[in-house]
Amino acid sequence: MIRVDTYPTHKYADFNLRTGKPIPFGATIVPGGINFSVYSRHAVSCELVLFNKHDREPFAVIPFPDEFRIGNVFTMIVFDLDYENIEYGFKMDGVFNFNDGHWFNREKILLDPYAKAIGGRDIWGEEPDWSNPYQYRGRIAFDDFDWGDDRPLELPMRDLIIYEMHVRGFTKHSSSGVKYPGTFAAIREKIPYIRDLGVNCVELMPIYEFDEFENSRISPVTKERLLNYWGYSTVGFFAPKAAYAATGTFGMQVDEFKALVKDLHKNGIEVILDVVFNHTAEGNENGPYISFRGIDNKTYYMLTPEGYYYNFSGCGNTLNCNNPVVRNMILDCLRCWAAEYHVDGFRFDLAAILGRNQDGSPMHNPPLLETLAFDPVLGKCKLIAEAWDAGGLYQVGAFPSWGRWAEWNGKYRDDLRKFLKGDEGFSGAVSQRLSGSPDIYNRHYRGTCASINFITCHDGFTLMDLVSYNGKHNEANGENNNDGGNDNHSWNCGFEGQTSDEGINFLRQKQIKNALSMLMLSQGVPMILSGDEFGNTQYGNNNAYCQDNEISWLDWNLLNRNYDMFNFFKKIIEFRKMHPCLKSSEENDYETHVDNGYPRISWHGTRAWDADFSGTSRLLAMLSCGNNTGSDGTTQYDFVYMAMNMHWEMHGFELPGLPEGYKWHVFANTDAPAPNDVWGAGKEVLLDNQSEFLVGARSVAVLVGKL
Amino acid sequence: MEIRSYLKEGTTIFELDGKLDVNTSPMAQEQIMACIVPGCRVVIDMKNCDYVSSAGLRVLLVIAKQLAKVGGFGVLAHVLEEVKDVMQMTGFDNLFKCYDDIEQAVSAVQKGDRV
Repeated sequence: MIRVDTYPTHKYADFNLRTGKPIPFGATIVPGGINFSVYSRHAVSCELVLFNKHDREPFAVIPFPDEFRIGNVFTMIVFDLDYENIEYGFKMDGVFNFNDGHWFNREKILLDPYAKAIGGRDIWGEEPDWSNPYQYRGRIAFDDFDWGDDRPLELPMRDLIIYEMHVRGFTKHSSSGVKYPGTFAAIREKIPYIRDLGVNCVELMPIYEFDEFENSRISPVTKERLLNYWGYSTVGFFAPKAAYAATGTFGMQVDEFKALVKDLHKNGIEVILDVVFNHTAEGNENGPYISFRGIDNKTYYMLTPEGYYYNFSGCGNTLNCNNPVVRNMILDCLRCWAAEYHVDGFRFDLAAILGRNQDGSPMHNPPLLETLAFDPVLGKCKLIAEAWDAGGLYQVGAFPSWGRWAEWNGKYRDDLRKFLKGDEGFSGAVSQRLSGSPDIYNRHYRGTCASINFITCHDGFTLMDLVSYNGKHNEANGENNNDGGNDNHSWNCGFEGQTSDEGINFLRQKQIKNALSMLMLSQGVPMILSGDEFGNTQYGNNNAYCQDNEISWLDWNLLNRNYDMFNFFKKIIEFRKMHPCLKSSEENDYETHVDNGYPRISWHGTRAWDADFSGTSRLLAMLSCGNNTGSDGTTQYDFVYMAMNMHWEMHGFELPGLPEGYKWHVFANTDAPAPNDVWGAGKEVLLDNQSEFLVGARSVAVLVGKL
Repeated sequence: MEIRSYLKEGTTIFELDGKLDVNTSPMAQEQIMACIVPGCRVVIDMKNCDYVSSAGLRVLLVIAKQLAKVGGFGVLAHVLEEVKDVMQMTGFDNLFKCYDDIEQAVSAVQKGDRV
């Protein structure tokens, strides 16, 4: 059947046109042509600007005829376009009135907010031609892909082990041994490694198109060019960053990213995207026209009554997330990534902003967050909030969740760090953190999996730096070491920075293992920063957002040097997987008892059943108990005991008694040098002394009780 | 792009010369698809094809699906490394088997290689 709407009805110069379909927004391939559709409530007219790829001058500027506007949407089909080799933008005409919030300028060529692929920054770090009037250039993307039977994996939250990474930094270092370093394709090459480590979810720092040259400058200290390396500044929400694809120069970033997702899924690994909806790359009143500002400033941004940009993001502007049009754009965007890219979940940067009203006030029931929680397409997606913003709204534990939203638990990070470095009086707080932070996440309502537990993430010290530096060393960032947080709760173990002192290095390795043991035995969802498993360092830089160099890139040489550490990570990740009692959920509530009478979690000290939660305590032991069904179908009790001695002296821990026949076996003892620091899960060693375990200074021991 | 075809031992060889992109892929699709009938044997010789675009990859995909659907056999020959890399990185690498020379390719399709 040939549809009647495959024929043009209008002509402009040599172009055959027809009124388009308003939905979906963006540029869509239709039989015979491209359907362009763009919303603007306040523009009076709109022109489509067409370029041959990379050309500075357009080959056509086609006005949308008045009769092609439906409601507030300009929509038009242009027939017979070479859609693989064109770039497109819009020009919008309307009022310019700062106080009213209107910024129309018909000279500016604007990126489509719904552009599915974006050119202009195809090769990472290649200095753009700043005189080009159209910098970020909409392209037409093929949305078909041979997915086979792939779909998002839908792993239960309680089984998730998240591994946070920067697409470029993960493999850019010359030691990574991949063919196209710093790309999506390179991550695919590293899948066997990721599998071997045992994590089952990669969380990618921003991959939406951004401009690494935004605010680029020369470091006064190192004389190197500083870039926006992290990319928390979105140019286009619907487009994967071209320069992250080895095939980006051919415009194939969409396919390359999909191939990565498909391959990760095939290996049992989920993909979570770190998404930045709180602001855009257009900055404040002095920023450039990229897209939203010229298309409908008043719709897309939160504005003060005088017309200035609210700055709850700390980045110059704030996306007007609870405007119904913007809300729909965010929903369309996430649906696109979930449905078209098979992405498994999202981590929302500065998510508290998403709950602010159009005037900036926090809302009780933010419609955007509710919409996302109940959206049919996103129904099985993981939704994770960074539950604060730069405007002082701190919602850890209070983020509106509808039982769907999890949170980065900043309190977990801080309490664990203080306990680890030997601060006194944190055993009570740590007992809460290890049991899923019930004091924060009203467990009946949200469950332990509302808590994403982490000790390190991209923002702050790496784990090696956490035990190697007392203070940040951000001089290379060119801000006189004033940037980056000061509340690191770190301890250098006796020397600031790298050292050849064996004692200090042993202690550092031990502290890293201590940290990981606590993280992997905590209720909730653990997250590891990539590279921590082999002691990656940023040389004390705790805010490496602008460092596109060895400071940020993972040094894979360390994997050999610190193989024992990697082995410890691997073994303890495997251990977590084998012990369901470490992963309770709402149905398997930690506060109840197992049928043998043992609580699911109990707290102990140097004496069993007698934890010291006093203000001078640096010791704590946790006993988790559950049922474990073996492959032969028989059920046994599963006891996991972790003694944590953060004091600088050795202490004996009296071991809790076990039911008849069960014996204590040691799985890990961070005080012992490798290879005696950790035994394979299931290969734990029977203890001679079943009543007490001597835990070395600043050490953690993990025991299992089994038949 | 130029497309030449010839028969070798009952197998149709298509030589693609030039870029397989949005402008040339409809022609390639039309010519190759016309040969795809039950039991057909096809080799696509890509030694002079130095670029395959998104649209080109999709034509190869369509051809592979059509071969599977009607019960024909086809492989690629002489795929240049940069083209092979692009196919691999974009997930289009498991459509066809690739051979380094025509003899191997022909013998493979005659033995019944499809993908």
